[in-house]
Amino acid sequence: MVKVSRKGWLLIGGGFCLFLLLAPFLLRGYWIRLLTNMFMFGILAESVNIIAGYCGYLALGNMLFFGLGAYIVAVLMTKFAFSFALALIIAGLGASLFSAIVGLPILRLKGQYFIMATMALMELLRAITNNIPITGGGQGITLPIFPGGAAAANFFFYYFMFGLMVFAILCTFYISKSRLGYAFRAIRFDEDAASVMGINPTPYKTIAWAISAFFTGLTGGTYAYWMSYIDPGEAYQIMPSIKMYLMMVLGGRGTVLGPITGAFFIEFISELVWGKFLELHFLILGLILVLVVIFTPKGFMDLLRRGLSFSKLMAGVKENRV
Amino acid sequence: MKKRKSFFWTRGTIIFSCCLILISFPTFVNSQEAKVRIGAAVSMTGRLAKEGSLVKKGYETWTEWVNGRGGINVGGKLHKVEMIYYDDKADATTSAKLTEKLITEDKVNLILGPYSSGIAAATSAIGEKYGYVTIAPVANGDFVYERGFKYLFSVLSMATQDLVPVAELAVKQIPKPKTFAAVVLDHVFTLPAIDGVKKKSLESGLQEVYYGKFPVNTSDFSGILTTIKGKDPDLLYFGGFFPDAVSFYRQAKELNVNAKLYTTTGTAGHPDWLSVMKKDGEYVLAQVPWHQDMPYKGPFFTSASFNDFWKKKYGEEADYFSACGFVSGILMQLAIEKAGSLDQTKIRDVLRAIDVETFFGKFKFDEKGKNIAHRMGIIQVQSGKQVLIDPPQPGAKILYPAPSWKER
Amino acid sequence: MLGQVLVNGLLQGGFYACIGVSFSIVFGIMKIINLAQGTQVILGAYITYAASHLLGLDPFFTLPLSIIGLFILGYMIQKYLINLVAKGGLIITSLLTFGLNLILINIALLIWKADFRGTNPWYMGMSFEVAGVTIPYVRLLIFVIAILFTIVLELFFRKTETGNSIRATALNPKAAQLMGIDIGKTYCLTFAISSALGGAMGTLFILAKPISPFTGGDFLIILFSVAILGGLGSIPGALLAGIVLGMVESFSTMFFGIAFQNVVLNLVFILILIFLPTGFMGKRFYG
Repeated sequence: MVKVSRKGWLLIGGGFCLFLLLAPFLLRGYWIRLLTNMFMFGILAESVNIIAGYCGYLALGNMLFFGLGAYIVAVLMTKFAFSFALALIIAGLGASLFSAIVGLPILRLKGQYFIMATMALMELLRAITNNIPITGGGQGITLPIFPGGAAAANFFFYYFMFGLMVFAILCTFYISKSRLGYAFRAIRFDEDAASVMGINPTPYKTIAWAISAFFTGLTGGTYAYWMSYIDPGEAYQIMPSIKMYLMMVLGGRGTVLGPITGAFFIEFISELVWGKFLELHFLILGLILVLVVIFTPKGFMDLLRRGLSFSKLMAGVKENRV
Repeated sequence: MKKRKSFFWTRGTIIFSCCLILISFPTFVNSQEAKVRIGAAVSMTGRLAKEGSLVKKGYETWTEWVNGRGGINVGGKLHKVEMIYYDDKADATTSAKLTEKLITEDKVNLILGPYSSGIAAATSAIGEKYGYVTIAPVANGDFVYERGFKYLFSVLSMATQDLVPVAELAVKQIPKPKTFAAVVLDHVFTLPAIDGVKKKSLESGLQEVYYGKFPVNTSDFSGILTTIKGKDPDLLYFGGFFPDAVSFYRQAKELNVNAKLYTTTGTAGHPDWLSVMKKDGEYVLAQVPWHQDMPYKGPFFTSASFNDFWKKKYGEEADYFSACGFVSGILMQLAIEKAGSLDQTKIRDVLRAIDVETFFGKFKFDEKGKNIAHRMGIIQVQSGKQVLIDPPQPGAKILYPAPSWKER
Repeated sequence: MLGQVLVNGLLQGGFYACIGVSFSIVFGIMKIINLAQGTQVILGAYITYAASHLLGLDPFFTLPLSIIGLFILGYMIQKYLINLVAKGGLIITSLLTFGLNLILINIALLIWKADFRGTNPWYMGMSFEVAGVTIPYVRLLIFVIAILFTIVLELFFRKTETGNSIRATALNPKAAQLMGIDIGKTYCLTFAISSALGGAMGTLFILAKPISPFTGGDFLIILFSVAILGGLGSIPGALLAGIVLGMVESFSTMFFGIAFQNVVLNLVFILILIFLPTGFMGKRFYG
């Protein structure tokens, strides 16, 4: 019988963190890249969590900030010879600013309308990127290569993404404990009631989206430098957006570590599955999606907490059934 | 409750250890036999699935063929070839991950490149970092080769050269064409080819009457075609993916937009073009990297005998995607045998100095890894066949001017 | 020239309208964003492809097949999958339909491979001229059929008892349930109708453009635009929106060049969302 106490969880978590910190010294290139990829999705899922999980606004086109950040970094580094660090900061702030500007009108929309507006916004940004010469248009843009050998590049991007992820987690943790977090949750629960209670939703929603955009933009910028080439079709994609939501839902919406665990789980599973079933991975990912939303709509963590059993699973299904 | 939890944990442990076994699986299969391991991440799903799977078929056929001959001769010892395939889902992130996996986990000796230029741009940077020779079968976007990479080699000539022969052919025709219109998909695949032929046409004294870019997923070309109809160009250059070209020429027929010569980037040479377009696909030109009527002779096949070999095996004509895949294998084989070792730097130096003719065409690389000896062939669809008209063939003639849609 | 642009826009708009309606009714009635709708359209197209190649049928005569096939599929999907999570909220249902989308794509990929499939009947590309405006027969026929379907559907919703019960469910599911309407069954029927209409549109689409299993995703933004511009689940609104969309596309191509078509389209869409969130003919509630 393994009963994991709070202390035990801390120990496991601490051990895992230590492992992640030392991983680049222990693992080969592929695993480092895989972990870096997991961190990337972890940040993305966490930033979606801030606007969608806490605030209840389903920004399904959140990848638009990813593309924006990626392009800001790419353009600044190639056309204006900015250093990566400076370009990245501008990318994060730029994405944040952009979200605030478009957020004022768009965040007034609710439910489905907001979802579609964010998706259209992403399409719009892609179309614009395609048509302005500075971005290289449909031909894409190549970035300077990270100086140094394979190991150095792997180290750099690994620790950079890891640091970003930790930053995002701390930020979310702080939000969840602060007044901000209560306001976000109040908005998700009932926006009208929240405003009656003296919470003016507009600035809070805008802040939530700006934070979300900030992290997504930073990730996009790092990604661009990491991949060293981006084109509009690659930078503004719907598929990763959906994956971010899957990760968030699986891990648990509106929790600090849920999206991160979801991201790790999905990326790890898909990596195991992909290589083995070349022609079936769409089917498998699709099945995972379907099973997750039917059986664990509140997340895997929630299920664990309540105990894993058939009757509990079915109870979860009954809840949402028509 | 307690019991259930422990049940869960034991099961969890079992699942977890299964996972671990699964991961470590590749390391168990270490055979004794001398082998050349070659890795390829190609697109088997996603937008480029068809093209990717044809290239893969080329790789597979080459592997089978070369192993049938005993393998590759490395320094006097025959090595069997073992291919490792992954599906990059036409996605750069995945492709980068898989390339790194091929190098560090699977410990392959050589890498065959991905299908498209955009993805090649991301993966070639990784190969370069590890000092791994990458042969790119179909990725010929010029920008990929402008980054100072030393281990990257392109089988094809650069994309800007793709359609240049069309312009050269066109100005030789009588009555001489005067104007052209260019319509191009805003994508890394098609822009360089159309821009190249546009530049060549302008240099040859042709006048541009229309140039339009269209976004991915356009299904309605009637707006463009209506504008073009008003300009009445002699030549029509179209750059786009397969479905784009189909709807473009269908709608050209519907709206009765005529030109003396119709061109596509590659699509009219695509194996599916004849079956989908039937009669409406006639007279259209396209560039093909390879064609069975080409006059090339090589160490193992001539252009014609390769086609016979393919036909005997699969009962269909060889397509150029598969030929690209196959010749990448041959190129690799030649380089390894000449280098006499599997050392990346030695192979690279051999490739850099190589000057060879194969069934596919000639290979000679400049310092950027571009194949400067390769020249695209041009086909025209004539009576349900993709007929090679450039390089000039005995008995094959360009049909010019194409009859108007109404006269066909 | 102007006449041609107008006609081009109108003909394309008819198709947009009908395909938009198929998405809009599910959206309006069940508040579900069906991300699999594009692939359902493609499945309809594949049925036409298979029937016309195996049985030698004319593509237009395969309409009943794709309609029936997709109706059954849609009914099953709603009954055994979507109904299980229908109360779970937007994020859950959207994820479910997206997962479904991946599964359908993979199935199509296994059956038909990644090849491009198209039809090419003998009358393909033929056209006639009226006052200097060229009108292709196939496109005209597509337009007429699409409009016809849209009108029939509207009549079904307004004039039949089943249609009324569907609208009642949309207005207030709880009240409808109290009135003795089986919500689960109504949802199944709605989704099945939407799928069937999508399947029919697939038959029409393959006449215009070849398809591969991945083509379905291309429809997404059109589906969204028509549904939103038309107003929550409003069929006449969607009809109008489809035609407006076709026109915007056609005219923006002429004035700004086709490269800016997507810029204009999405910008118009977002602006309308902001300033006219209920669309052209939408009400606050469906019904």
